[in-house]
Amino acid sequence: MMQIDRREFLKTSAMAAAAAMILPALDGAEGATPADDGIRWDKAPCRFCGTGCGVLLGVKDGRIVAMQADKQASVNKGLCCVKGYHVGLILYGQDRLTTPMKRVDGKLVPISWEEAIAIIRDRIAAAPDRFAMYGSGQWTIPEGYAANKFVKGGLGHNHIDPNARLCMASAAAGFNATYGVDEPAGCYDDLDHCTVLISWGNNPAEMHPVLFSRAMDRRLKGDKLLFIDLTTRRTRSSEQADHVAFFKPNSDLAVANGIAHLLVKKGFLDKPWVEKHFRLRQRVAEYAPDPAKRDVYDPDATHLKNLAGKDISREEYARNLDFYTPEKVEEISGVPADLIRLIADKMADPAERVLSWWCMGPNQHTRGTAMNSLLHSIHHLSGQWGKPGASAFSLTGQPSACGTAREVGTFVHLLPGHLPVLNPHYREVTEEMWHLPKGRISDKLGFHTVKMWDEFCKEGGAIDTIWVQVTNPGQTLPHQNKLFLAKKDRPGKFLIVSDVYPTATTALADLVLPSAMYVEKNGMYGNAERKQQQWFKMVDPPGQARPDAWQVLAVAKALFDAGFPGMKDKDGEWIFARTFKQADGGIPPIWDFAHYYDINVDKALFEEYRPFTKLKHKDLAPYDVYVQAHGLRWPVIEKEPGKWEETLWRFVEGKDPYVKPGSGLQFYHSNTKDDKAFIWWHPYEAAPEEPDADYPFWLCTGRVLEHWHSGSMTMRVPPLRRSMPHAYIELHPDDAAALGVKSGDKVTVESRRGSLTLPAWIKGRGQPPKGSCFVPFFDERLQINLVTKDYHDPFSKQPDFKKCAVRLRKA
Amino acid sequence: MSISSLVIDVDNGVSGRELLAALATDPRFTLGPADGTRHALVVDTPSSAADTEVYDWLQSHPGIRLVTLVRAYLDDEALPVGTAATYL
Amino acid sequence: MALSSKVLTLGASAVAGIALVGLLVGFGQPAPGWRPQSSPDAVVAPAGVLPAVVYREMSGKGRGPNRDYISDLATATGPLPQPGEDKPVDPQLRAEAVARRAARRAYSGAPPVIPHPVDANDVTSCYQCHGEGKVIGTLIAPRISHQRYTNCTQCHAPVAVGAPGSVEGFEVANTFVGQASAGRGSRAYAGAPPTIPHSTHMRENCMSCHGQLSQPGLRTPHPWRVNCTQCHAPSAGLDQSRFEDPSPPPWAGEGVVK
Repeated sequence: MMQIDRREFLKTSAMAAAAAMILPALDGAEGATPADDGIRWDKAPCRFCGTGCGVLLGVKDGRIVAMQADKQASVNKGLCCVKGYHVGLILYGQDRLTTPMKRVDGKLVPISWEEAIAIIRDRIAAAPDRFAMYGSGQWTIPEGYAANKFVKGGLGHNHIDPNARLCMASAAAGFNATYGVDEPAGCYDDLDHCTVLISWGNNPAEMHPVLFSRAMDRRLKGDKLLFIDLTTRRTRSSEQADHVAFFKPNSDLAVANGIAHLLVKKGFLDKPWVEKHFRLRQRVAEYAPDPAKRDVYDPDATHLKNLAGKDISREEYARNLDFYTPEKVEEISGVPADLIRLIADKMADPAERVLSWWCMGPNQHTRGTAMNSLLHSIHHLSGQWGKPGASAFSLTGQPSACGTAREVGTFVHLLPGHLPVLNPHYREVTEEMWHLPKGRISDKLGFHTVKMWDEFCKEGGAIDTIWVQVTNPGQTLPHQNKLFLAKKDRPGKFLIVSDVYPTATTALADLVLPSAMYVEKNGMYGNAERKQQQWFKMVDPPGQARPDAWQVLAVAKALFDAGFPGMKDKDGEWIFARTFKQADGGIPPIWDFAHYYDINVDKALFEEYRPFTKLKHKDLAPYDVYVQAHGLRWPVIEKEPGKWEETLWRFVEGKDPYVKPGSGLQFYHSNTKDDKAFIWWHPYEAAPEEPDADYPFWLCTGRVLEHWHSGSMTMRVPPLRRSMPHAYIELHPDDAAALGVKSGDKVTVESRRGSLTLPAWIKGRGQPPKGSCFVPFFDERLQINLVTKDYHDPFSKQPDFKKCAVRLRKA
Repeated sequence: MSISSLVIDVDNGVSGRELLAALATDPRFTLGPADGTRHALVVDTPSSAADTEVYDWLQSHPGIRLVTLVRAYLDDEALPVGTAATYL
Repeated sequence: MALSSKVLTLGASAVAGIALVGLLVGFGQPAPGWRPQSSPDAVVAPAGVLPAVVYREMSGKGRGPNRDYISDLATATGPLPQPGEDKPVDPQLRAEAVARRAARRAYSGAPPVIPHPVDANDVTSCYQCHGEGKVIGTLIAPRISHQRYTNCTQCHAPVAVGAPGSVEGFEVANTFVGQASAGRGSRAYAGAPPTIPHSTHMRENCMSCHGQLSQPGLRTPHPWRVNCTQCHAPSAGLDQSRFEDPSPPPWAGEGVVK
């Protein structure tokens, strides 16, 4: 063999290797590319949390056989968490629901789809106003849109709410209160740029592990990143923190005020950006002084009347904060005064980029709207906002909490495009877009989640029938005895559940519909950073399982055929007729499942939805653009024909196409119509139920890394279930010793609502401070929501799953 | 001497075109075949540190959508001459 | 010529990561209540407690309580093959190794589960054994095959070491059948170097599974050669480097009339 220069040789072989990645012909020999074993790979977002990781699923012989993290996905860049790596297994639990069933003499018996659709049709036609729909942030965008139009456009009322009410509602209310428009201004790229990261009541190492490593892995590369963990219990996230402080439940408001207090003392009220871009605000209405009254639903206290608050002067703002000296805050919260000073110093330092992130802690909070608003506010006041890495970011818990629940507006108070239903202009716009007669859309708010289930379960309640899709309220609603299990004693009530596995919810269902899940259907999700991702159906659903969107459309068509007036548009045609009308004027009979895939139903629904997204500058691109892209963050703007560009930072000049040049920052949806966002003041108040002599412990609930939501999917994935086989109660070692409890011993946890007995885990994965305990909610055999309370935030109506008073004893 | 082979996915806008022009004139780079916006690229630098530097520069370039490192030969030692045969 | 300095890596972050992190030489066993601190002035260890070690400072620390666990390469792995002695792999050993691997993965390419108990919180202690690979008695702790991350248990779930105690009543079977081991690479002709039959994403360090601290049936017969992909070609398809846009479904292009 010829001796060639070694450098040339290396370069030639290097080029051959690079070229081989591009051009198969250059591989040289037949078979040089290994056989791919007949696996066809296709993209989808992960099915679980709100992070929105890109996953590639490998299909062979009609079944998922392998998964990879998508290297081209900007969210996760080729890394998943253990749930994402096993996401394909959720399709294959042996007890998939495969046929419609109705309850006869207490037992579920198989029926046909025709009969099931007819039952729903008749229930609705008999009393449309007493029917409600309960969905989730796991609905795909087209599914949520179809359901929303079905209820608000077809039934003429607004009784449709998602479980995102239990999850995101306070975050949304906080954004609306502060910016006049929902959803984060920043994005995950902030994690790549921040120099200080503050976690508020959050355990991202387990709940958003991919994002957590995205930030923490920077330290391995030599980046400076100070991580401060403000938490109510020690977690895996705390282990990586530079500073950990445990605050007393509910006192996070005091901590935020303590930081604001110091910023004011440092003269930040005089900073030019405060005058130029922000208004100082506080709430209009006082909350009920009696905490016990806070869970009373009061339609007059709707966030739309009071959410934007009222102006206060600089003097008033400063005076309100006078009380919150670092020492006072330490006394209230337990967070050391020096740490509050350190945070304020970091925020005041223009050389730092400070990022706050949070998820359920500030959301599942009776003062959730206030706490979310305060988090934005301390960033506004300090100027730690609007620069890459300097931001306040609200994480989400479900794959499409933003994309479907918030943007499609499947809440009782919203229309598609996050348009408030109480605004007559937006009702008119929606009626026009849907080609409905004027006045079809109701001007009354529907029943939000807690109210909806209360009306369903209580004696003489106003709701008789609820149709549940893609969620498991029989496990995830608070105060199960009151809001779910009471249904057992109400013979006239009728529960319809579309799901993929038997759950605590199907256990009380009168009609069970088998659904197609995840990549058994087409879909689109929108994640926490405003990013829409699309996927195609990859495998067939088992048995007679069918997509949720088909189920809704089939019922809508059955109602139309039966002459139900609401299902007619203003020309007397079916309300979805225009959605699916083809170029030749024909409407494919997609309500007949044999023809469901004659057209791409998802694309038709999405394209009808798209114009709504422009009304609040949340512009989405055409469906086909998402087919090609690995996700795009809105607003997505067509810069030149065919070239669609996403937006990473909203309201910032040069980043957001809607911001006027020369303005620096422009809050173009400002509540006060002057392009200004708010800096809020809210007081710290005690929680509605705090530990006392009878119930001396705090109870906090939450998730663990391996399981997602109610565990109906992840508990059926062997590697995940083996790793975390059951729920447990975490105790402080001193409390455990006082109770005489060792790890593995059974403990009974009891509140004024109910009780539960489960094994203790001392010095386990997390450790609560003395006087508090933690129980994860994923285990259907050990339902902690028998114990929790339905206290909720007065604006967002989101219940507080993070704190109530309990007592403990060795079982 | 460090030689790495990369596949770069280049933005089809102005910054991408500028990047390709810059790569074509820089002796450290050899551009190979392309498939659409994806180009094979060999980087020849004196040291592994320089190679990492080039990689980071590419990663942060506005004209770059994705850089995939196919392989790298990183060697900061002086090369013995005429040893190529060992590798063939 | 040390392997680690020459072995190519796929995924450039691995290049930067290994270069910057340097070699791990072990660290102190953390005391209960241990919490890492990054600012030197922030922590004062109580008397008798080992000072906390931050992961990124580990390379500068000496060995801790595990200092006696030293890799015994000679006895654990047998004599190293010598250059020129390029023996084929024993098919029996290979089959056993593949079966062992499969038992710890839901499918080929899944992150393996952790087959031993771990500290539920100390997520960086993994590197003590898996950073460079280690032999302890008859056990082999393979070296990590990919760049370093801070949160090992994010992807690797421990087996049956979750919460203590037992709760009956949830043993639903799962009918998922994962893709089996990729098998052997293809050869262009007899004697040609086989191609790499699996994705190299997250398996950038070939020596993790094919080096001397790996299962015998998978070890390379020629460990003195340092540039694996010089001869063994990876696959663009498997490595997502030639990503094909999803092929359009039958209805693609059918317009929606508005």
